Amino acid sequence: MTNVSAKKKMTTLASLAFSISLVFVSACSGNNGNGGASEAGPSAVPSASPSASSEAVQAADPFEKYDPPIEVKTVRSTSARFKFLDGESLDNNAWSRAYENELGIKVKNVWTIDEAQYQNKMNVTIASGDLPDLMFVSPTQFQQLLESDQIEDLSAAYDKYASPFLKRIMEQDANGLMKKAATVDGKLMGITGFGSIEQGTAVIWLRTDWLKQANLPEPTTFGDVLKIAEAFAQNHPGAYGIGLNKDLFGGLATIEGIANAYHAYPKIWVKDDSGKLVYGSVQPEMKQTLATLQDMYKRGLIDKEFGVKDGNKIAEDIMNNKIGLLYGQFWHPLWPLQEAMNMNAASGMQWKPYPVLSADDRPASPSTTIPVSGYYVVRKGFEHPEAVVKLANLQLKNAWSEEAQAEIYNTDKDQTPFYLYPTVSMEPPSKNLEAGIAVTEAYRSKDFSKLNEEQKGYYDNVAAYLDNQDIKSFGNALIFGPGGSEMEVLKKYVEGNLMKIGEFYGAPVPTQQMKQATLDKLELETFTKIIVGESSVDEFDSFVEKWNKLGGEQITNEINEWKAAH
Amino acid sequence: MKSSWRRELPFHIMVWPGLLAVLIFSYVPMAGIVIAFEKFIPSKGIFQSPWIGFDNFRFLFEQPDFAQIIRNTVVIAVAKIVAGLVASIGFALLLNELGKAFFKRTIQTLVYLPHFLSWIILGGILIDILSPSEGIVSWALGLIGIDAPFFLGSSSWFPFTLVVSDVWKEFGFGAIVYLAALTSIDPTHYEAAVIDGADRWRQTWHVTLPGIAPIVVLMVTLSLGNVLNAGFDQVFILLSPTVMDTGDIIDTWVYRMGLVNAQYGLATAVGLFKSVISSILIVASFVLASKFANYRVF
Repeated sequence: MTNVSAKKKMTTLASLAFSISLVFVSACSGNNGNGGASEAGPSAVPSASPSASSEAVQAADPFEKYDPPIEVKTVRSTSARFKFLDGESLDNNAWSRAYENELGIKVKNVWTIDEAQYQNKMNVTIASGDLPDLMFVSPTQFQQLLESDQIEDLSAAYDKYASPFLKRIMEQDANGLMKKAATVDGKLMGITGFGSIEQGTAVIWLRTDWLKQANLPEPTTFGDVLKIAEAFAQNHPGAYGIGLNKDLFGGLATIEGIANAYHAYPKIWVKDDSGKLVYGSVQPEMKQTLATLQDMYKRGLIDKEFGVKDGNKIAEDIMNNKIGLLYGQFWHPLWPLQEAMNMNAASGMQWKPYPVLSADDRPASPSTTIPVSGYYVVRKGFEHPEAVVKLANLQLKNAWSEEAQAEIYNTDKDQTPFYLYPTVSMEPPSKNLEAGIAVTEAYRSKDFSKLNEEQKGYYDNVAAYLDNQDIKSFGNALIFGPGGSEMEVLKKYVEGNLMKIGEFYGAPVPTQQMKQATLDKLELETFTKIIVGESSVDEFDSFVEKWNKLGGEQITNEINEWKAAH
Repeated sequence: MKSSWRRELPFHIMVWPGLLAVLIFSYVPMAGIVIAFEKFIPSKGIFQSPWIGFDNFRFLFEQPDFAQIIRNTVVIAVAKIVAGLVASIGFALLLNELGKAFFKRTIQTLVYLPHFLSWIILGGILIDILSPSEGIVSWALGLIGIDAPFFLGSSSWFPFTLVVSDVWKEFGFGAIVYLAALTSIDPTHYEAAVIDGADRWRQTWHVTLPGIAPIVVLMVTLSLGNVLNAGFDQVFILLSPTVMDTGDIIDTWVYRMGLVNAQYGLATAVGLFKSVISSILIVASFVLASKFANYRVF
């Protein structure tokens, strides 16, 4: 009895001591933070380091280290793609150590959440008024934060600290659009987050082992695609002709590429014959697309249950040999095809990418948008607005410059995705395509001396996969290697000048803010019902009418006004 | 006077923390309702956001799918209340007839376990077991020669699926109240009934049911406040584009409008609308219960 109570007492004491020490530690770190804040002032005075002084008179060292270190609070989205080395985490990895050691910035992730929920959580965070120091926000949220004057002007920090590399990306690549998109009334209000234009396009992914089995030639028209789908559905019990995701747009197993076959450009704003911007989903070509999809569904080429399957369920179907053909994105070899290969390569699974194909004799144009995915912004009143610029500088240097160390900062041999970790993540818009071309060329000539670190990493994957059948290297090999999505598909899109680029990249116009949710629901519901045959194809016409009446017309006008002003 | 104060003081002390909590967490936040009448901009706060009167409500009623959403909500919620009530009472009566206490308790525990599973988990399970091509339900129906419908993908079956799965999840838990009520029935009533020659059915009809009637009335009265609550988490997890016309409810709509599109004023307006309707229903059922069943809840 006494023993027990003594033990209990000990535990209580221990936990008390522990909580006291916690208080102590946090008090200490609080002190440190304060010290950092007051002392960083003087050290931020331009120290005119030789490496960057040529850029501008006022320019400081882009990598100037905070001493003592500062803390930057931020928030992050994660996903199933995030994998870590043993003992590492989002708070402790090669990137976080680099931030701390090279810049004196301790990044603190106040919360992390799955990417599907990130926008909602961010909305709630904005509503609560308790903003982190640094955050990645959508164009809509960017607009809201601007209107409510909650984010810091980064112009001075950018002019002073931006590395030449960052400046090149913001001001020269993609026609300087990145800086333009983040500049409001002449002030730089954020660092634009983006991908390259060609990376938003659709790619056909096809199981070539099934194709060979079916004794069919490679597809060159959309008609061929339909024939292949039919053969797959017949030859493989339980398999579907083509994969389809319940969300219909954006991501794995979607319909943009099929729409492109009929020169329809759903979800983006394109110029019509008169030069006016119109919404692609309500154009007549879309009706043709839906008629085809309805027919495919009727013939059993599409999963009868696609209406309840999201991307993760589609990925399961791919792993379970139920899908051998789908329209998706260039990066799918990394997910979910890599996992599918891990499971099925032994039984012969093979994948190959193809560009979107046309249903008539006009070549198909893959649709895409100007890739402003969001903005890195800094809370108004944060003492170190330049930290975001420095984080971007370091990320570009470590990941993409000539000094980059791909093994540490991009991926290792086991494809651990270090590239997902950075707090501020940017990339040169054309770097993936350049890498694909360079790696493929190097693999053919067996001369990898011209490759940079990142490309060398891909080269190793390509060689491991093609020469040694190392399945683990499949992902990068099928993106950057010979026959990969960069060479076989994206390069053709770019060189053939084929892409249909959505022309609206601003924050949602006022009517969109109020009515977009209703219109999106109407669109998704109508399209799904037409595909499953619950509504006839002619329902599309009344959908267009309704869409216009419910705010679409108003939105079209507002978007054209925006266009006139930009 | 003084002695009664002294006697009651401890009770006052005990009740005040609870009252304070209710005041702080239930009444003070009600001030936030004003944003239903504002174009609420988070950073400007409640006091600076522009006042737009009833515009949020007007916008709400002008929505093309508003009538449909209200109808879906009421249909699903009422069906859940009625089916849940019938299942819970029926189960409680049946279980009450069982003799062995061990058997009784085991069954009771097993049956109310699903209540503790979250819809996130059950949603994934339901999608799998209800799949027409490979789900166990369609396989079982196939054995007796029935072509299984697409429970989660057909608009006519979707509300049915919602109601049945919700009843399955909750009826065991709901039965607890009735089981408690059953134990409070005076056994002498049964003895008297037996002497009068009543069989089991008669006993149930004339003794058991009247015995638990006050509790049933209480539960019905309380549940009327839920006529506009069709269960967000369940519907949100199972909803898909094909069943929007019978499955989209007020709460999922508010989620899209309020959270996804960040229209907080509008979302609050819907919440206020729901609360007003629910209050009216509760008051009405209270009056009806005291008038017809001569039973007062409070």
